[in-house]
Amino acid sequence: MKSDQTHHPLIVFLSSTRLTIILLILLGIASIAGTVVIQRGTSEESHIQHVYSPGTIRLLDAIGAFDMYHSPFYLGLLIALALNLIVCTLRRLPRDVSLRRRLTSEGKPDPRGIARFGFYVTHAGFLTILAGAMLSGLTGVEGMLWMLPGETAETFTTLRGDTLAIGQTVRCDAFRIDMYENDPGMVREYRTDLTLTDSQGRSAQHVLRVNGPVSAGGFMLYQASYHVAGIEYFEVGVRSKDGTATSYRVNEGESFEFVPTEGTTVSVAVEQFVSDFQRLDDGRVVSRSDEYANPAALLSIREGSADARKQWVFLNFPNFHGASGPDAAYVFSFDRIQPRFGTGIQISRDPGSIFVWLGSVLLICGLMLSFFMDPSKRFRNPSPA
Amino acid sequence: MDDTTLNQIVMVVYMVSAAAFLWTNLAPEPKRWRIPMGVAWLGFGLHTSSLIWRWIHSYQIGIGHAPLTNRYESFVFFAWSIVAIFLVFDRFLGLRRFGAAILAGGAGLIGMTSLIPGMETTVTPLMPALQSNWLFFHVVTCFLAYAAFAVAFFTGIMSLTRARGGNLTRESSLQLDDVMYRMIMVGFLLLTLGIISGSAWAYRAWGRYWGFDPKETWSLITWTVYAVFLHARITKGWAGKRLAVIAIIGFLSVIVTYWGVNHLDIFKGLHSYG
Repeated sequence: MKSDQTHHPLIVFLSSTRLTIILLILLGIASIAGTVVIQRGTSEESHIQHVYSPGTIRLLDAIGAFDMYHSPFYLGLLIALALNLIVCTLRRLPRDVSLRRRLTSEGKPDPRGIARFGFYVTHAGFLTILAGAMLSGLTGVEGMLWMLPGETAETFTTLRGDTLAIGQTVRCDAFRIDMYENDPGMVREYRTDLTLTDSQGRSAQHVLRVNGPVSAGGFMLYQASYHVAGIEYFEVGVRSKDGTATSYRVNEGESFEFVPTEGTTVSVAVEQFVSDFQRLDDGRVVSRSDEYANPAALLSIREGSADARKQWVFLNFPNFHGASGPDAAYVFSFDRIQPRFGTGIQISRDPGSIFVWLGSVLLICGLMLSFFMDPSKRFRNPSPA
Repeated sequence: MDDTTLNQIVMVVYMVSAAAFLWTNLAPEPKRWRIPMGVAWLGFGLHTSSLIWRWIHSYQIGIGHAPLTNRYESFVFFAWSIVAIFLVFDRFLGLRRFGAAILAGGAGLIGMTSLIPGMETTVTPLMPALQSNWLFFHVVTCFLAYAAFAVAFFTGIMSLTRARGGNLTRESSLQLDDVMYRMIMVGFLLLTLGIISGSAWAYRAWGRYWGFDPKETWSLITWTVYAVFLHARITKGWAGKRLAVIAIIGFLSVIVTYWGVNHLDIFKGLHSYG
């Protein structure tokens, strides 16, 4: 920079640490606001409208508070911080270069020079991280693959709505959710078995787990989620008068048989299943919604050669036995629904990430240089208190 | 006897040490310091043993992870970190002057595990997202950072209260400043490592290195507060009460980051464990 420019009040201000501190404080306040105001990216619109009045929503929308971290204000602060840093660095560089030359005049590098060098490494790291983040925002892509075992995918749709070719064929061979034996409510592992086939027809098998991503084409696959796609099987329980109970696995349209303690073989078929039982005025049974709010199965029960009688059993009401009286030889219950699970794989590509890691290394090295190489800042034994 | 009972004993030992530090502060001389320091080291030895014990025990019951993953373990480890930072940096910074407050803080954290309702103290299995080699490095760096910031916080409080009380000479004010600054240097470096390792882990588990969830954002806010401290100190030469205020605000931010985002209703997010 020309020397007559470096003392212009505007340049001095733009390069000043006072501006840095102001910008950092504003960044902190904006960041706090983003954690307190509900963010659109992680919430439903209905939730936002439930919490805030229409006037508040209009106001917060105007300042971009519902997507704070991508708002012009926030991005503007980051850009201002970067510019402040660049201008400050350019102003300071000539002085540091000549200082360094003076300090190393004896041929040995002076620790003070090395420590001042730390500033450049730290802040180069910071700028590199910001550049990486910008690159991620501009060029990164992300989408989801929802697959059942047996399904394949060659393309995916990004969050922005573009359809991209993966470059390989992804086939879901299997998906399982394993629980802990001793803590049955807790998931131990989500695992998808994949076969990836490239354009030349070469295949490789991979296991995808949380914390164990798999690369496919130019993208990375992450075990992100799962979905319920129908029902694997039901379990219908039979409890006889003497108290013994057995569960039978069966699907809609299928039947099972059992022999009660006295009498002939009983055949039970599952005629119908509804996820949210509702009986209409005309007696028809429908599912009120797609939610599993009140799952019920219609059993058709045939004893020997007698006519079939029908009975609804309810998952949420195991003690409701319909018309069976207390003297019934056996009663039925709806014990369990085993859902069919499909995998939810996140597929993404982030060209900016490498710069974030590089910047991180620089930042750490720079901090160590600044803090631990400068003799005046070095830790030393305290003077006697 | 299990590790939770041992932790209660550790708490009592730390309290005895804190009392002994108070006693030594009344008539400080080199030989007197040996008593509270000795008791502190004893407590720390027991505390380290209880962590190792819990770690081994988790493998014995078929779970197998470092004692860093649930609320109880995080409180116990935070207490350990504070005492560890104290013992390591005492020789460089003369932290023993603050021994009473720091050891009391360590005891207090362990004590809170008994006072907070619904605190689950058993060893719990890891959910899939936590099953990673990153867990150890990320959690340890973050808690050591919090511990360093806690020491800086105590120093800041002392700087403010004694300055107001008028019994702060220029020399002792500089010393307090010095301790506060160097603890924040250590904490800042550790926090930077903690945030970066957290991002690397998030990238591996969730496919993105930063999602601005409340925990991530508040760790960045904490980082920003201490960045302001460092810029104010290094570049603008701030000292004394003004810096102490920043150090205190920073530690409040640490509390929100560690505890607030998990338990206060205004925040919600992916990160709501440990």
